[in-house]
Amino acid sequence: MIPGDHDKLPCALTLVAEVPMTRRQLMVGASALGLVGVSMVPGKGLAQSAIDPATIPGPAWAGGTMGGRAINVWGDTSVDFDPLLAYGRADYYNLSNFFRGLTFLSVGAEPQLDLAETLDISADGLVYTFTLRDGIMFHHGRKAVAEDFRWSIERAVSPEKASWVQGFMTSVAGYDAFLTGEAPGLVGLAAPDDRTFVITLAKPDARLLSILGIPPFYVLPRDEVERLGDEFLTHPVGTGPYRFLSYDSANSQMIAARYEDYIYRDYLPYLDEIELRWNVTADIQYLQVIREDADLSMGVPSSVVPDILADPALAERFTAQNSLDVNWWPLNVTRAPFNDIRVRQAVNLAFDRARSAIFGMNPTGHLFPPSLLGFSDTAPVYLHDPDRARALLAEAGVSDLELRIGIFGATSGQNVRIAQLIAQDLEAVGIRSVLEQRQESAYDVGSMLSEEYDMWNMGWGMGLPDPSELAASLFGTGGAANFGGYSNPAIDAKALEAIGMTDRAARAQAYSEIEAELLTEAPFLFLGVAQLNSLRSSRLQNFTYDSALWTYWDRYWVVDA
Amino acid sequence: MPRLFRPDIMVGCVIVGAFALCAVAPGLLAPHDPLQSLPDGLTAAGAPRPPGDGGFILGTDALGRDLLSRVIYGARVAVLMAVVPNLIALMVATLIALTAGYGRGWLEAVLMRMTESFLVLPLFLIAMAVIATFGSSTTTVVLTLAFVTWSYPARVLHGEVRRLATSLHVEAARSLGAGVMRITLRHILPHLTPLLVVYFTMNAAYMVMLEAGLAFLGFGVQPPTPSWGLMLADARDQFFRPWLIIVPGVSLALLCIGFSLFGNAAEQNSPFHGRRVML
Repeated sequence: MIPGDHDKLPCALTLVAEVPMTRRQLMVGASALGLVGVSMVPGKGLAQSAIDPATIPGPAWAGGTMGGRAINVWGDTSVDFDPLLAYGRADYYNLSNFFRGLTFLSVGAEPQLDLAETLDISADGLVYTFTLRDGIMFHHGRKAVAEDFRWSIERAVSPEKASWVQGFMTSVAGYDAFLTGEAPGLVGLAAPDDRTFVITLAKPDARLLSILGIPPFYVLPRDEVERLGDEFLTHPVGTGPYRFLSYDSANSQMIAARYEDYIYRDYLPYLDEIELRWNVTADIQYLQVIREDADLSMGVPSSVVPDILADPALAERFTAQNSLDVNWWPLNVTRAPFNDIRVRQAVNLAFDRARSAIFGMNPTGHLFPPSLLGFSDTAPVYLHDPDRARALLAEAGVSDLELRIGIFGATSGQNVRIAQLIAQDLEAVGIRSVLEQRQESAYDVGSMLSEEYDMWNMGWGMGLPDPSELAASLFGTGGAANFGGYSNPAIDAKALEAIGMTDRAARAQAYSEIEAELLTEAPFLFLGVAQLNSLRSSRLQNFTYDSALWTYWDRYWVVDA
Repeated sequence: MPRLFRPDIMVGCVIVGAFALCAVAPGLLAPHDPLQSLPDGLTAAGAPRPPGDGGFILGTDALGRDLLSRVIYGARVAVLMAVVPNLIALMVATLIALTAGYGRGWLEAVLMRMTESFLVLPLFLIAMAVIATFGSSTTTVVLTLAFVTWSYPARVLHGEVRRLATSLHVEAARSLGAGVMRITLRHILPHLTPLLVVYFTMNAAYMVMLEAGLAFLGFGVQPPTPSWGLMLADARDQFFRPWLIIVPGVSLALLCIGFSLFGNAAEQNSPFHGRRVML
């Protein structure tokens, strides 16, 4: 890998997001960054390109060889490429191959301008004016204009679609009227001309640029979406680096080719063709990659990780990274024994969560994933201390305690094993456990969980890499997934305030304080985040993983191309 | 050579006897606590130990627990499921067969149509539904297995009761003024014993497999209780640690073979050997 240094430059978007600038100031700043970038990137026809390569968002990519094809394999049983309906890994994390949007989430989930060339944020933080790049083309040959962006975002939050991202645009002016049907459209979205797109907010929302960077808000061609109807699910048409070539549902295989009119076509993508295979179990994915029959698996089973690490040739091609899949065990705080904070803390102290690392877990002891805004290394996490746990239980007057523990999604061996580790550690401090496996997800049982169990496992794959999502759903009072019944009005108020904070550092501090308070109150048995095990073939070069979009196929190349 | 000393019967007896010993006294045979992760139960890289490694004869599982100890303790669940629900099912079947077969009339019609209705149900799915509804405690699993397996022996026993009810010794007892209870308990039930023994041994293997299947799907006994079905379920994502699948798999196969050999012996030594049973 020959990384370009442009990824180390301060991001123009970060600057404008934190310090309100005029459009002119922004253009001057971006030009300066661009000049530096051009001088650093070795390359292919820089003089001919209308795009400044330093403004291409995403991780480092320079220095590869054009051409060739690569295969990536997934375990999903089906795929849907409508960005609103892609719920699996194989489809959701491949959407950025076919579609792109105003912003793009780079490494560290940092939003960077993508199809928008410049951004001007008004001084009051309520009006975002995007100027689109010139020459953005959809795969079917039509030019993408600002109206396409307006329509795509409106579609994503429309009541008819009722998608999982519907609530992400609550800050946009006219959202409530649009949702209730009082207004035919979202008045906060406007396309005054083909290259200008304006979002007007009713209240400041620091998450907006991150929200625009997740695939459901990428731009779609209305004409093709309407023409293809349901076929659009398997026939994606967007502005991304690869265009649809063939889809074979019987063989669970899709092939996409380099898009010749891609906005960054002078530089990316490197590969002529990518093949996507799904319905491949984790064990087979592993075997295919080590046999070089496939080029990338992002679902290598944790059971084979010791074997991979023991082989230097494989270990060099292996990556274990933190995902945005949060794992925690809610405690039923609505009744004894977990209505006593000392018992909750004792359970957290009793559990030696480090032992769960061998099951594909990074047992951080936090709720927040390490890559999330607000994650702090100095947060008061619980270290394994059975003596202190026993003391707290004695102080709480708890003896002869038996917990009923639900293991949801028990088809995953990981959950069952971690439950048994918890039971062993609780036994060591005098708490007996009755484990019960359930095949369904905890979300299927919902509010009934607190009637049946004292604690249970839950997981949450973050769609929006922003802590506001966890605050709203997992621990906010009445949150959609707050089944343990935890409520803290002070945390609720602070989380609400943090959404409007435009200063990123202040926002990070606010969420750090929220998590610290949550850790002290211990409404959960904190575990950590799932690790994503990736193994690539010896051919595939420049592999980069990030928790938000996982992978960046437009900037990988193969050595034997 | 007496029939009981044939090699296949002896092998069956040895297998069933060995597992019965494991079930009765696992603490004497198991080298470790089957529930505890052992400090040296995993390799330095966190992988389960293969058979023979680190002094673990059958290796360890993903939690670093001794597999031999878990197999020995797992025999307790297997033998329990082979015996208790089997006995309950046969008791229920006998009661229904005696009532219907000797009582005749509308009672027979009701009981036998009910039995036949049970015969056509998908028993495994019914078992899953019952356990999902009432929970998966050992008691529930035992009762569920009995609930889904009483119908076939009831149908067979009913035919035999009807045959016996018209036999000369029953006619004679009836002529001497014997009541219904005396006739069924003293003159019919003892004659069902060979059939019951055959059914018990043949059903035992089925019960073991049924429980293992339910446990594999998460509907049987619950972790951390050692159960062969649970051990197989735990090995599902351990494709490259074959001993985790082979050890409980072979144990299951052996016990079922043992019961089958035993059942064959019982059948061949019973008065029903080679005879059609009236349904």
